[in-house]
Amino acid sequence: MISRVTNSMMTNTFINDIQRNLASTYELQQQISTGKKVLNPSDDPIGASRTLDYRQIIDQSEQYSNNVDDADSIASNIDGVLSSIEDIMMRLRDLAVDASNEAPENQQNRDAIADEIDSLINELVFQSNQKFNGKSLFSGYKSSTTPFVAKNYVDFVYGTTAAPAANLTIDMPTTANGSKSEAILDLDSVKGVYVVDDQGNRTAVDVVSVDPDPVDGKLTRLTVDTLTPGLNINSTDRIIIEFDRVVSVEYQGDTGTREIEISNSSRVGVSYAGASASSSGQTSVFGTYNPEGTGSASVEAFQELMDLRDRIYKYESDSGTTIEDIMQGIDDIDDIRENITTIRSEQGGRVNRLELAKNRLENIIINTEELRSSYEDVDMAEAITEYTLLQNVYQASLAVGGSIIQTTLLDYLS
Amino acid sequence: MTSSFFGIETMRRAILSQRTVMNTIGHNVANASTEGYSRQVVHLTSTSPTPTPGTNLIVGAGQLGTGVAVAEIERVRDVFVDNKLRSGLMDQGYNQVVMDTLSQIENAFLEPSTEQGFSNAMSEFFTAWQDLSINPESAAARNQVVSMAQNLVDVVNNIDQTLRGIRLDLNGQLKQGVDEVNRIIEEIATLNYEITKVYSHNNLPNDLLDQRDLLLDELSQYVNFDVIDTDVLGGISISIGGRELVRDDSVYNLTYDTAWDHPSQNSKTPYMNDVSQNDFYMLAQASNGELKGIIEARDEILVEVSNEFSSLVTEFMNTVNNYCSQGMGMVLEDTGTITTSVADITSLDNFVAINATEITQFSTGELIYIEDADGEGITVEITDIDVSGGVGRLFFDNIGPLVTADEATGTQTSFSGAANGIESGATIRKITMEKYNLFETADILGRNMIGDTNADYYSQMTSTLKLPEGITAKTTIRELEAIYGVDITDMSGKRLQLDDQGYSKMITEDMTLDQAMSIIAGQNLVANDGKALEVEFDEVNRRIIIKGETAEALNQLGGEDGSSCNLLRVLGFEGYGIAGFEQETGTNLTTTLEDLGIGDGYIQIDNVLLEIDKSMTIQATLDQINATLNVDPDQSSYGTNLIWDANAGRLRIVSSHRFSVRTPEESQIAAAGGAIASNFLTILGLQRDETVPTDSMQQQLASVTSSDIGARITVNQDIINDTSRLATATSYAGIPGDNTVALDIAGIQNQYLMSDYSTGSLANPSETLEEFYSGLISDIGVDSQRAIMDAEVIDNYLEFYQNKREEVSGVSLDEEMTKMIEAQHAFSAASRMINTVDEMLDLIINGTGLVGR
Repeated sequence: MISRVTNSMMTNTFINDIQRNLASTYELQQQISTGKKVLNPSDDPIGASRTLDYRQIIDQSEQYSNNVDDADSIASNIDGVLSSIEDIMMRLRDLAVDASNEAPENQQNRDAIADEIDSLINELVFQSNQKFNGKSLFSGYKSSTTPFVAKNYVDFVYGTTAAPAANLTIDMPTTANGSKSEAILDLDSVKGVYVVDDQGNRTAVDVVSVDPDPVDGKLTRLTVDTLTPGLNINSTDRIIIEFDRVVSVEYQGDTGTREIEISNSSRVGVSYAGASASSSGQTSVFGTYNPEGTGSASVEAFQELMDLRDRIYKYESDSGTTIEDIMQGIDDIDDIRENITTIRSEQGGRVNRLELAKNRLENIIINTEELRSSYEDVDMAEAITEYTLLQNVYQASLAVGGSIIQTTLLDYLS
Repeated sequence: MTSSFFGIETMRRAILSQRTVMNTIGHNVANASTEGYSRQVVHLTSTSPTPTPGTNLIVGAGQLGTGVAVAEIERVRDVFVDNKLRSGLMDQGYNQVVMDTLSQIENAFLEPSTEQGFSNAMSEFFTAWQDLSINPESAAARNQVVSMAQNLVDVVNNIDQTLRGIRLDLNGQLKQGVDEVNRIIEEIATLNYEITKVYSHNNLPNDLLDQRDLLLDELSQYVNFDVIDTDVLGGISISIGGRELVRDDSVYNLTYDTAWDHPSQNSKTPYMNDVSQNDFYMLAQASNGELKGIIEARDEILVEVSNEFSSLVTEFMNTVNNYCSQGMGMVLEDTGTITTSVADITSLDNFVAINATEITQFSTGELIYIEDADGEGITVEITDIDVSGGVGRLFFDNIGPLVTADEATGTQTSFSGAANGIESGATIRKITMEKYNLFETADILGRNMIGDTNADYYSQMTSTLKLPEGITAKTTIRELEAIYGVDITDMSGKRLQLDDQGYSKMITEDMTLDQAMSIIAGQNLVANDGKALEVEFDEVNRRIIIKGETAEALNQLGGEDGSSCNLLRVLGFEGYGIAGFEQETGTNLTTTLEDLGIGDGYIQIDNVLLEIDKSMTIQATLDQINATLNVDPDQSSYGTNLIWDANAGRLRIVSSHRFSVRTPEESQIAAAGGAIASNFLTILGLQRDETVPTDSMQQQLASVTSSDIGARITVNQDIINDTSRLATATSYAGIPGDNTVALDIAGIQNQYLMSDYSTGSLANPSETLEEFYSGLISDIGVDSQRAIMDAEVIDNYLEFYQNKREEVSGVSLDEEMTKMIEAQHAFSAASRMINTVDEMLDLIINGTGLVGR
């Protein structure tokens, strides 16, 4: 019970109430002008924390969604390249079948077929080296490296010192595990032989004869003409033998598989190794390859294709190539095609997975955005209604306060 | 029989009294809006009637009134309302600081309404890593990561700077507050003097009392104080927690010390022999008021927020750095090329051989890159180094991807052209660049602010005892006996025994405490370890202080001898340098550590690391600790002792020097090999407080001013200079396409790294960085919201009591005007009366006796 009302009580109460009204109005005004309910954590601590969490989920999902898009376009690019590789393989198979059907005496036709195979091998290398977005598709982690290099020469260190002499012989080196280095070749295919010294000076030497290895008939010994006077071959010099066709296709990449994260802790592969190490058992586009110096430098599939080509060239020669050898080549082509089909179907699976992930992410973004908005955003209709109400209260209190405070007894004293 | 002029005299009194009333009304009206003014009312009283009883009393009709007199001019005041209002003001002072600080902290984090907060910066940082994981070759993506890292660092440093700024502000406020309190108490003391003077003339100093009450109102915003009336008329005494600020006209100023800015003492530990620290302690212990609010906001709220944020940022940076240092950037930087000097190693048994003199450049754990003549190579980690027969061998076991095993033979072959070995001429390069961390911490956030983590505890070489209120230097021993109900001496006096050094002086009941203390202090006191002791009675703070290099001997004071004086014992002095903490009952020396819930591990006191076993008892553990710590109790190297106080059930630390105790977390860091630290000391109640800096820290702190607050965390300048050093691949061979590290770092976002801070440990993390951060923001929000609500409650409370005060003491103009008219009429009436009496007298003097003229 208030027993006594004094002037300062009235003014104090009036000021305090007006201030309180103004404070609520100000808060509401801030909400309306920013469109946000929670401006400081203290406005709604739980809401503030939720808002932060939701915003992170949205940001992350948007990033994942971008990742999915990237993965998707890489996947369709890989599929396109694989499809053209399949086409080339089909053509190669047709050619091999044609070659096997040629009559034995039609070596000219077979040579034409072998020529086409040789150019298809080059085409295959070209297709496999295709880049997407500046990155090779089939070189594993070494994305800036061209995965396959087709060489029409072999080179090796001579190893011993030879003084100028007539009919110098050069033995092709054998590799660590004892196999011969290169494909079946004959003298016709050798375009030139060069000696390169450690200064990089290149000297051509004339080939007199090529002697096959007595055991398997593969090129093993070159007899070259008398060396130019003054030319010594040192043990560190390199010998380069140039051929008229591709003799090795080497793999420059590695066996890594690049991955892209498409959701929390779920990753999808976006590259294939062009070739895999022989012992790894890893899926790769063109089978195994040997790291340099261990056996044939060529990648398995390309080696098989080159072997087939050379068999067709030499069908009638002494080396004893038979129809079975060509049939073997057709089988090899089938294996390669099957491998690529498998990879393409795997790729299709990936694309499906990516589409599902994309849908899921979009749902997450929409739903979370709705939740975030419900915590953070101002309901304008509600806020403005409330604002109008507060304004009325404010005006009423001003009017009433003004008239009460003005009146005192003094007004009525004469 | 009244005199002729009786009526005039009565009315004269009336006129004078009514004029006093009018003047008081005028004073009231004039001060209607003066702050702290309470309306004054004039108490009128009728003067003594006539006749008064006496021998010569003429019996008449009765006593005749003689008029009116002013009894007293009194201010209208309700002390109850004053007290209520002041307690509200104390609440307001406290809450205002807490609310402001929390609101500033909220603003420091800029969440959740802006996009410039830590949450967003962290999110963008991880997004940049995601982009880099898709394009690890891209320089643009790398630059983006680095600029996002810089942005993040800026945000963190901004928050850090703002938090430090808040602390500096609070320091300033604390000093200002102390100055303000000192000003107020000085004014109060002056007023006390004036008031006593007025009272002694038997007057009421209404306006002075109003002024003093206003100052008390003002003071109550700053501190929680007690006011009592002293025995001096009108004098008051003001004290905080027993520490007197004002007594009558004497002032005992609060002593501000710059050490308060970074209290070297945990504000919860007992008194030290340092007045300024005492004052700080008292303010910290107060329950209310702005100064208490400042100390709490600074040393608890701000420190906790800084700690939490600091642990978040530290964990975040360490995790990122950890991944970065495991990976490799794009460019190989070498420390020079070494050529293998020994020709073909016939079997590559996981080693390479090089010149024995060159091998000295390498050490185990380093990464090397071996490259053969064709320019292909592998990255391997050196696991061992061996030199024999002039040949050095570097061993390694993780063979890079280019070294394969032949399927058929199973023998390992190398990447080199040579069979089963690395050719002569292969180059070996040390790899150093992979170890680039993304973040560098010049100073972990908040450390300067909250003190070093190896904070020292101070043992109390000074033992102090706070005496109950009412005891002063002039209290006699007899009075003490009455207060404590114990016999301190008999009438003949007893001797004060100090240690076993004999006794010299007697304490008698007539002595004052002051005198008794000077006797004790006058002795050549020696503790039982041969160290000198001093005893002091601190009158201002009403306490006894015993100082010494070690205080242990004080236990001897009072002695066992019945004839000795047990003065100090009666006063409750136990005489230890104590840093003791309460422990649950039921625990005793034979309790095993396992029963206490303590496992195996290490504890660290000072620089000594001790291994303990959970099957040990407390006794055994203490023995082992003491055996290690207390090198030689009788020599100057007297060390630190842990003592189990069975009666109190608590652990005491007695030390002749400062010692430090580490928490399990810190010990874990300190223990080589990451051994698990024990929480032995923690469980026994010894807590490390983060507000305690070391000496060197204190020096550093003293030098921290607003101008030299700079970046605390930076992005590694080497990475800024060359963003290709940013790690994305796990091995050199995988560069540039290997994005494993980038994926790992992007994945940190979803890792559970943090745990609820209240557990104080990151042992079982259950929250991601973001969750922890949003929890922190929500905690700040909850606290801030509570402070705002409290403020509303307090405001309403204050408004109520302010209105209550106005209701009682405020000037109502309507009322004053009414009273004015009343007094005016009374005045007029009295004048009229005089007129009438005058006419009567006129009639008698001039109108009578005319008969016969």
